[in-house]
Amino acid sequence: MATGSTVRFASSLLIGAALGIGSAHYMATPSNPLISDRHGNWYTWPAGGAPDSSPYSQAYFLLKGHLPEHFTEATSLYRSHDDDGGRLSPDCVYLLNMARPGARRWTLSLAGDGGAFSSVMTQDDVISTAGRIEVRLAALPQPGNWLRFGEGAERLVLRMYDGEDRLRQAELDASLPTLRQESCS
Amino acid sequence: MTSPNFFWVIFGMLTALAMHLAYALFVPASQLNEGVSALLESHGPNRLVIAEPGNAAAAFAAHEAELAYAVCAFDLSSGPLEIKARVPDQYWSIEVYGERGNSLYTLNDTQAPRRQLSVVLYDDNPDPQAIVEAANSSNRGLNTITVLTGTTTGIAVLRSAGAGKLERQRALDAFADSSCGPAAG
Repeated sequence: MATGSTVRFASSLLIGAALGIGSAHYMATPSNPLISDRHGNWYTWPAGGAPDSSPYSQAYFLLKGHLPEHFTEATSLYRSHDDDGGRLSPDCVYLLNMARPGARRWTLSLAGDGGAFSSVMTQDDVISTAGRIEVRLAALPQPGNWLRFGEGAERLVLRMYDGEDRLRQAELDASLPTLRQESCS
Repeated sequence: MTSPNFFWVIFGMLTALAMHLAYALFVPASQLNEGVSALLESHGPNRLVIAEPGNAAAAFAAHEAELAYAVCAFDLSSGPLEIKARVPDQYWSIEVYGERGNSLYTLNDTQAPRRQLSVVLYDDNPDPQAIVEAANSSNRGLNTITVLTGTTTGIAVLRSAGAGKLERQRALDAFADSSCGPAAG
């Protein structure tokens, strides 16, 4: 009888602890739709000091050992898939097309899961035609604007500094970049 | 027959709730504390440390490929702290965080009053008269900003554009002309 109670106690404790820790961890991941904010194929995460930030959105940064930038400083947009829903892969060539962002500074980068950046380009590194920018994401050099797709990169990150107003403008203008797969090796 | 099982289900759910709250509230903060402790151990409090690969300050460089960072873990228990900063002609910001990673104050290059500025941090129990006297003293110029942090310990982070060699050099030069230390009366 005592053994049965001990087993129930231990299993309830273990299952409860696993559920509690697992659910808290899940809440602080980008896949949590309750916290992340989708803009088409891109998603954002509430930054520090934002009116919609919570212990979970704060935890997302702190668990990686990072301090979240104040929401008035920059807006970060992420995506891990192309426009057709395919997962980004260094074996493929992608064409990114966007209107030149209005933010005073912006960057486009490819990042790994651990946050390591394989490559980054800023507004000073691109050639644009009639206000539009085309960038090819690929492992090997490409004509025009090229962002190197290194091994381990999984996410495309667009960061706009002084981003809060710009993001609203970007939404209004529907000017967030599109990303089309051109070929795969 | 079912009541003992019901008890263990409730017990498991309460355990899950307790673990969820404990994880969400304490684990992220402890992760941050680890980074701050490593910084304090290697460089001590109230000192500006430029993030370089391998040093303790690099742990706070969330976007290291596009931003240069300098951090100062502060302890206001022995008096106010003064951060003197030179603002470069490019994106730059200062952000002050509490010990749980909460953003307390932020300022960027477009808001900064001068090319050279001071931010003086006071703890959670400042003497109002001391602040007035310090602000009126000949040591303080017009470009001094007073911040009542509401905390004794925390971390200040300077960020500046650093994607290209030129940007990064401008940022590092500005950080080299910046400091973090006890405020002069």
